[in-house]
Amino acid sequence: MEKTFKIIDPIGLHARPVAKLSKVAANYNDEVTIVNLRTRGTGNLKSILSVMSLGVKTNDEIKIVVKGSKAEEILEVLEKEMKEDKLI
Amino acid sequence: MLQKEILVYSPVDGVVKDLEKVDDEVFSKKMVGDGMAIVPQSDVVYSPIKGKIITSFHTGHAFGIKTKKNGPQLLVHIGVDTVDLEGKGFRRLSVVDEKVTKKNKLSKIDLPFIEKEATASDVILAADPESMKNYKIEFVAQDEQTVKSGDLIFKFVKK
Repeated sequence: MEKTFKIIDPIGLHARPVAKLSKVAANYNDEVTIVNLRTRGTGNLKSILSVMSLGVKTNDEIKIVVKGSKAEEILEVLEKEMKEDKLI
Repeated sequence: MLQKEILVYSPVDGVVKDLEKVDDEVFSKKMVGDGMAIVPQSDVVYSPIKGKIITSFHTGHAFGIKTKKNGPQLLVHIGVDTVDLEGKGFRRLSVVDEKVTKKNKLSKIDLPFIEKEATASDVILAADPESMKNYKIEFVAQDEQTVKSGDLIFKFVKK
């Protein structure tokens, strides 16, 4: 299961919001991958540095791909978190 | 020295500060991982560890360093709320894929400017929890200890 989002944070994906998203993802056993659709770089959403290394900037589109039984729930929680932090 | 140990050195001259005391819960609650902060007294931030740069934020305030395959990954975050400075006060001196040791410079900082404009100037070292499943931290330096750039401050030890 996957979903695409456009990042509107003026700085892009930086430590604070990434830390929150990684924490959410790490609560689940499912594999959670993030793709920077501009660069095609792929990272493990559970790893803060892996996500930060994608260099996601303002207006970049990201795709979150979840493999596992809780995919729907994870995408929902991540989307809520990103909206709260005004990332999307 | 055991090969299983990975050594982490102070990236600046300054004073050690427990992560719990950093004025930002992303760090104090160890959301980005366990580690240590140094309140800087010098204006060049060196790599605290031997490895490869995997993240070099364009603003010059945050770096990620991978020690080795499946090894610890360390975030070097200079200052608190420094992302809002959008690069002002920082001159980035290293880029992604560069191999570094403690002799390599990551960033040159305008310390008085950062102290004035940001919440804090603390140089924060935090080990990505996802990379720490097989490692633990052994602290060498202690809270409020004065250190020089290049001094051993903690170690990653295989569990």
